[in-house]
Amino acid sequence: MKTILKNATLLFFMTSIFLFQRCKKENVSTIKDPDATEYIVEDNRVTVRDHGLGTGTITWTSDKIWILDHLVFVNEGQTLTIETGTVIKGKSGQENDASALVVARGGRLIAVGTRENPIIFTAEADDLNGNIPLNQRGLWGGVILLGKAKLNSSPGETAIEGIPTTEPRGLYGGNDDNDNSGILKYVSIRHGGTDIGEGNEINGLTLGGVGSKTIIEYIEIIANKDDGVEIFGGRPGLKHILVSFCGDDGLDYDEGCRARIQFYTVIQDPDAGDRLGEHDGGTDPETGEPYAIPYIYNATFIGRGTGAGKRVITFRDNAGGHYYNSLFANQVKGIDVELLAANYDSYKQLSDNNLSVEHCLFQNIADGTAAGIFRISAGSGVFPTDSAAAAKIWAEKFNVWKNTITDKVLVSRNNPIPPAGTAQNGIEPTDPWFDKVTWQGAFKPGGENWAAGWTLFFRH
Amino acid sequence: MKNLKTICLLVFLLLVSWPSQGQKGILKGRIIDAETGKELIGATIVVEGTILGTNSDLNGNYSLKLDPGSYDMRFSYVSYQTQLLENVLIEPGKVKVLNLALQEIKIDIREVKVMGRLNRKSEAALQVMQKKSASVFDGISASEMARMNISNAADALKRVSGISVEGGKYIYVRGLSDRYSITTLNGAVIPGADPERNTVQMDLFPSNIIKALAVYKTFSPELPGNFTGGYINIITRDFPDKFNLQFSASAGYNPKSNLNASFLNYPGGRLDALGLDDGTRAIPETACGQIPSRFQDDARLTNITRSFNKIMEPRPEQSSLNQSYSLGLGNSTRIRKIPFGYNIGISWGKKYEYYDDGITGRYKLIDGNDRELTAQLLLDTDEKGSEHARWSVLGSGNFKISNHHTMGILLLHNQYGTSIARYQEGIKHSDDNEMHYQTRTLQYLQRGFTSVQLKGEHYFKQLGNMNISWFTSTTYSSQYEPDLRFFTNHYTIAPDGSRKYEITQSLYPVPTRYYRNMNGISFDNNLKIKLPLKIIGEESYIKAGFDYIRKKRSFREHKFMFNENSNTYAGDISCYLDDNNMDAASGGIYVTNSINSDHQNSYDGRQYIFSAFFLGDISPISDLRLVGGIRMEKSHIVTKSLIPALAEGYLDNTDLLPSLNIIWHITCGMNLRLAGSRTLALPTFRELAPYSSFNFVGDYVFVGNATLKRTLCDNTDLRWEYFFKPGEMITVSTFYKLFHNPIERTFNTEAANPELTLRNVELAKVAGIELEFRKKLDFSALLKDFLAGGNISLIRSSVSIDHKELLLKREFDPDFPNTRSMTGQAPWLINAFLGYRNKKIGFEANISYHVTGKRLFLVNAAGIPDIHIHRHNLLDANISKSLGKKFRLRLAAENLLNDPALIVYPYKGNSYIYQRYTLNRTWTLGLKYKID
Repeated sequence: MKTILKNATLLFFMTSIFLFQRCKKENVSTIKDPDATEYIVEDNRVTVRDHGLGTGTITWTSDKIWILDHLVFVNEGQTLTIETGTVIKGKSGQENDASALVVARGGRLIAVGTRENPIIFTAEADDLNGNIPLNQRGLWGGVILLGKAKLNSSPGETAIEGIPTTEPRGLYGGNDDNDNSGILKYVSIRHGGTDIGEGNEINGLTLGGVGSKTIIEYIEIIANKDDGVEIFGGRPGLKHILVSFCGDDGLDYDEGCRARIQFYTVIQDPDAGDRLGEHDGGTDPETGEPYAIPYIYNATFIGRGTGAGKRVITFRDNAGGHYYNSLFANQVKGIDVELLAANYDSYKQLSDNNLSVEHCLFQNIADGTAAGIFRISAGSGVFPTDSAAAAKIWAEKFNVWKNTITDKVLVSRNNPIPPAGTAQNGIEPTDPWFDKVTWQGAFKPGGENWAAGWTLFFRH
Repeated sequence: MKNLKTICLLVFLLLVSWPSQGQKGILKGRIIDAETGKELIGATIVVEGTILGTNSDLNGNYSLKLDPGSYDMRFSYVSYQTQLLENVLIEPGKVKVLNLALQEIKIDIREVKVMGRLNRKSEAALQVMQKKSASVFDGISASEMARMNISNAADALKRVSGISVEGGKYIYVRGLSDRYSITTLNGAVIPGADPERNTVQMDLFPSNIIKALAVYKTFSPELPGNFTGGYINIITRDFPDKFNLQFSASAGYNPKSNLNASFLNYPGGRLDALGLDDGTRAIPETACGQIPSRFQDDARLTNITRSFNKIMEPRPEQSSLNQSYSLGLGNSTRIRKIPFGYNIGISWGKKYEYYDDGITGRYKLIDGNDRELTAQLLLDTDEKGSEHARWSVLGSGNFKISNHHTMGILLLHNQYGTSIARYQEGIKHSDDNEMHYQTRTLQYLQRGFTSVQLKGEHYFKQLGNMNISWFTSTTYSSQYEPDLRFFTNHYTIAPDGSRKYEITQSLYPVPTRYYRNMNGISFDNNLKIKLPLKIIGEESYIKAGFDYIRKKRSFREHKFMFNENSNTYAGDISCYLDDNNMDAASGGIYVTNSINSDHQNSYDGRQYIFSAFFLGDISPISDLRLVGGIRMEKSHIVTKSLIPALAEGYLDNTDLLPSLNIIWHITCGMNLRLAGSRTLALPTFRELAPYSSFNFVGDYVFVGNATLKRTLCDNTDLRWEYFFKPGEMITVSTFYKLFHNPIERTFNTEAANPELTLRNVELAKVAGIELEFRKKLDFSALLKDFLAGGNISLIRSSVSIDHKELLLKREFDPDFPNTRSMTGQAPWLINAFLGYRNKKIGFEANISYHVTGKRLFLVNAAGIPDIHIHRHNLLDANISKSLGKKFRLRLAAENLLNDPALIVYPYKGNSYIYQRYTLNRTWTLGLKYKID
């Protein structure tokens, strides 16, 4: 309550300073309270500097460009509303100088853009007129949502990558799978992914312990240096996501993620990017529960193509997960399931029916055979006979699960929409959260491009 | 130019100190108690039948100028047996040394015998110190170090019972880490040169400046209170008896390290041989301050990126022989009629160390039921070359103002530079077994240590024989680590056999350079007053004093990372770092820094400790001695990161530390000692600084804890000792220590990546038994020239595991115990040696063996087994032969067993390698020239 009051006072001051400024035409003014969040106004730019009290419950209006200076938190109990069409820019800087927007546990971000007027997060140097080439990564941080949903790591609470444990607002995880961190809709996150310390880059969109009531739809992540979206535990729902030209993985999950994901597109830069999907189960211990068993319908993953030597998906560290109705294209290596000498691994999840890839369509993946696409990745100490047996079982699932290989070029980097009439062998989702479609891939074959107009990738 | 000056000075000193001919001769020496070894102050030395004579001073020393000739000398002291030495020959211009031990008169008057020359450099002298000491005490003398061919203090301390040495420089006394030990130089507290640690790196002290190393294991109120395991005093050479000069040179050869054309190294600066970086490794001037990011000022960014030195990988280079030279010079003379004694020591050495058989492994445990650990990283190529250069200069002088007043000064500088080049390659496991990982480290570590000490000792006969001693000491220590370079990449092998190279920041850091600089200064001022109390026993006295220590430290870190937008690394580092590939505007490599991170990781620390003590040493009945008292210590520590918003480490305590030692002289030379005391342990500056730092690729991040409290320790000791003959003894000690709130390493369980930290846990206990003996094998005529000795320590410890860490450990193993042994505590330590000395032919041979049991090295995150250092056997031998009166030739062999250094993860009966390497045998040939 105290915080809210303090922030309300602050808001009042800020607004008066805005007005005051307009009259006096003075350029810079700061608020003196050393703990208070600074909102430094320079013409139409507002630089935000958080010293521990967070943004406050506030609306960032579209008539200003909001500059994130270092980490800016939305603290517990605060709601940050970002108006349609607002541009937020992150200052450059690495490690402790990294800038990012972090929604702490119990804080909310309401960022609802529209197709015509998306909300844009980008680097400070971006003039939004194409001065920064499409593939430039790591110019600022990213957007981080932290919630109270369950993790499978012990003790069920973790500091998000790169934020030291000395910053309590960096912690996520709890017991509320239905937690609500707010709404993100028509948001484009560009050129982020700076190194935040000890070799950790910030993902485009990081979801740590985010609960199912959070709405995440129509999100673009382009040219992030690390992963497009990384989900640490929790049970978020994501629909209509376009990840392109990122430096690491397209979709990454860890720590017992049980997300529901539909219409998720990854398009890799021919010169950068690791896996299209990197899926880990747990960390300490890897066998922690709940297991990571997300449901993913209608993904379109388009890889770097021949020569890059990258994988479609790796399931490891006891990760499970179900892919349905998805379309995978242009990658040299297929889907790996980890097999360890240890008792628990992703192969065990496969054996326990917690891992499957069903009704999916493969275009130009590996050598174009079931055994070439579905591979076992054996750890040290695994007997070759065991790994051969596992490889056989896994490869046989390819047909059992009604996956198909096409020799036609249905999708490409520039056109992820398959021609009408193709990619129709999907299965109808049972969970009502998902849209009931039976096509394969994130876009309706021959249909409309939901990413056109508001994303940087399709504006190009 | 500087060197020339030094040489001139030396030559001058040599000239002035050379005894001139045709003068009087000098008779000098020291008078001590034959039984206790205590100096006898004011003993009378007279030429029989004349009034020519003098008195011994407060150190028991005397000096008398006489015309050449033959004299009968009388030595006397109240209540001691007077001794007459006949036909003492005084030659012109020469110094005759006569050290004497006087026997106290007991009821049964025994035959008077001269104990022989007592030289404090010998172990017999040390033994006398040991016997008369109020505290439990062990040590090693200069002559023992010379005999075993020991090169520095760290090497020497390894031979002392109950001591183990980690990483070649950090001392563990009775299994307790350096937090629980304190090191002083001639009694004055000195700062360490390591930003992470509390104590002094003992390898900084070459043996040629050391007279003795004394290790106290029980507390006495006059010693600093922040030791529990031990108090190590480095005693430097001081007042020489007469002119002496020694020069020694040696060359060493190790088949792996020396004359090896593929020794790993990297080009450094011109002053590397002096342990100094000449600026070659400094931060380029253009890179100071905040580096612009891309799209801000690409031209400047490009310039800055190109300004860094391009060398980021080791290269093979021919290594030469190990070499070392030392010159020692001492004399006593008079300055304005005041007797003045001085010592000068200079040494320089260079040493190569190399291995190419290293293995590095990192493992994880997936589930507590697993039968095996799962490899994460297995680097089966590990080559490392280290080139060490060091020099030291010591100058000490002592004025004997009168027989009752002496003052001394000491100047010491030690310099140590190490250049390390390392290459590792292997497989990074997990899901992708084809990932070949390559990492290179180039490091330069420059350490300096300068100390100035002034001391005095005064004896007031009129004030009831009061003795006042004082010292003031200023010590500056620094550790400079410029341009620590890491370059890591991996490659995969394509089906056509070609390698595909990559640098992936999400898996390991991008090429990085660190610049670290630490400076510390400390002042120690000490005053002690001792007053004999003859009323309660002959030897009784009371003592009081105070000590004021101030320490300051600053640590600065700068880090630069080499990033790029898309991977262009193709396997050749020099191509990769070419200027053409460093154009920020076209998306090439660009350098970044973070001023905020640099500030956060830099800190300033201040500490002061004020202490006062009072103690009494009384013998209420004969054969029983009680030494007891109390020390008050006020300690105050503040550590501040350069980021003001970060919590400040703060500690302020006032503690009372009582102690009591009971010594029972059972028979002549046999004592039983019982001691009890309270001591404390403090966190270091770094441990109180709440920031995170990272040292090596693959290592854990360390985070300080600003809320650490000091630890209180209760100690009890029981020791039986029997000094049956000069130079021979046997001792048995047991001890028990209880720690309240010990500071222990643990993990932040919430951290995304393993994060080490320190917390106060509830309790710790340590108990042990030590056995030491030393015996001449003179029971057989055949073996009479042999001396054998050794010590064995058996230690057990148990420390509570932090509550949060235990919860996590029990996720893997529900039966995980709630205690573990203390980090670095060896369950057993054994030292043994056998020496042979034939004085007639001037031949000596020695063999020594040292082994430390398996001990905890590092507490591990989550359920991964804690890492242990494996047992390590060390066997050294050397022989020496005198060549004429002034030369001695020595051949030494080190590490004869060539046991690998091995650090492992023990799990379910198997050991998984964390690190392994062998350093091979080293052969050293040395020649020494000595006049005295």
